[in-house]
Amino acid sequence: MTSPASRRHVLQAIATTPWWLPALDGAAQTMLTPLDERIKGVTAQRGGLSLDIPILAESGTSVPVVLFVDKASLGSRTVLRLGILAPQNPRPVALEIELGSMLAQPRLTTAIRLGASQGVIGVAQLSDGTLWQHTINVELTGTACFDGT
Amino acid sequence: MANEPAPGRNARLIVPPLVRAGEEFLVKLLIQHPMETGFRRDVNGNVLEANLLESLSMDFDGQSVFTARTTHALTANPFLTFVVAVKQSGSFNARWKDALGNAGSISASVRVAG
Amino acid sequence: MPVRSALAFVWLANLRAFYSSLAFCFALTCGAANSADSTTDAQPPISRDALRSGTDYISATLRAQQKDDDLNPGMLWVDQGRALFERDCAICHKTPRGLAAAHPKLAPDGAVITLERAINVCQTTRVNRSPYAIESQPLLALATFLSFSSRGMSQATPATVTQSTSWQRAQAEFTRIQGKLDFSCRSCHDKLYGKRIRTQTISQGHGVGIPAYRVEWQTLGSLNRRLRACYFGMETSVPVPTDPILAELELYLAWRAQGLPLEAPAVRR
Repeated sequence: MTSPASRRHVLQAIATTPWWLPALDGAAQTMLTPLDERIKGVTAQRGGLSLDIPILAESGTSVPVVLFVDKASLGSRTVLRLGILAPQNPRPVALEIELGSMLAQPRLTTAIRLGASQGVIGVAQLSDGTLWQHTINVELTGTACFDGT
Repeated sequence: MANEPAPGRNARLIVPPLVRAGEEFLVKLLIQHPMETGFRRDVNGNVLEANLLESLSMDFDGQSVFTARTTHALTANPFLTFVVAVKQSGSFNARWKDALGNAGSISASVRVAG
Repeated sequence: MPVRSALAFVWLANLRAFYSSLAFCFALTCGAANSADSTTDAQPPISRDALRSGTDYISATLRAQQKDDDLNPGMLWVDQGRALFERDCAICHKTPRGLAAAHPKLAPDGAVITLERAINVCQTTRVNRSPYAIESQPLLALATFLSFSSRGMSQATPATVTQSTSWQRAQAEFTRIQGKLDFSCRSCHDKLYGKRIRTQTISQGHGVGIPAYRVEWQTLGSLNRRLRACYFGMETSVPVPTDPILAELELYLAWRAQGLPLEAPAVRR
């Protein structure tokens, strides 16, 4: 692995591998490839991360989410990336954001779509390689009247 | 349909017009986009073509606010809010592109008092 | 064996007949009560002090999204409507405020002119363009911008509207028991508002937040579409968008709302 081309390929492979993989349980992990040997088996703890999402969602079409890290828990570290995973969705990676230097808080508010009731996982990757995760079980509730328009 | 803007051409980027240097404030982005998953069907049973955002990012005069790598499960007409702070006046610029190649962008200026 | 199954069949058939006759009697009683109301009573069914817009019945999440103009997705259509208004309408209309509040109204021939119909009349006769298709993006954008511009105003429905055939047809429709589930609009929206169906709370069914962003549609839509969705939910045949009964119902709803302030664009489930 000495040529620049193959080194570049390795770096690309590492850059595109799912850094959040350890946050998923075994079953969900098998759905996703490739696996990066460096992060495989790294345990993700709660740390300073919080996922704020309703446990009873009135519609899977729009579920509000707040994902944030308590700055006091960071010390000298920064949050590189935030992600939201929905293992039961057809595409399990709901959202993945690289945080820029202009952010004053490692905090994001949005709304996502869920295809089924499931444990939604918030993930944060810190500058020292630490992985934090927080899972909330979200139940989707059915509609009262169907709308065929 | 005539007069209909391409998906992702219409958006809102809301920031306060005037802030203090270093003061934290919210930047709110709302994009008009169907975020078609490719799983829905029309009344005749035909699959509606998938069209999700493929790239989405925001900067402040060139400095990154965020870069989205995946936005699969954002809702249709998605919104995102972040907490930022700036030291001097400047412009927030958001840009995005979807799977069908429609590109959009929006800017909003913020002025630092004093 | 055949005798027993034949007997069972007869027993079941009798049971079914018994229950459907019960349902028929029940419907007849309800229907009778409703029709008695419709011929003699021209008072709005919900008293003024009990009037509440749909915003009071939705979840806190949706209400928060509706009240924040920065994140209310309906505002995307307001922005588009504003651009269209400035391009095509501002020449004649000095202000957009008040235009939506003046609709729906009765035409001299007794037909109902909804806001969307009025926009298209201008479109063809003044702006000299072809009319916008029902539920098309530009028509929704203009209707939303105009409704937004009448925020806080009441729909001006004169008391004499109850004498029109349009209103009477609409009231008959609103109180008619129909569909597989055997109820009328009135059954829920006049009598059971505030109660729950599964996790949703029944509203009074006014429509003062229309055009509204409906999460289920993943887009914004008109009252015409929302009413058609009601028919679908009641499991009865759905009128086509051009069916006059839908415009007549819009008039009836405006009368029934008795000046509840307009609050478009609303956000609904």
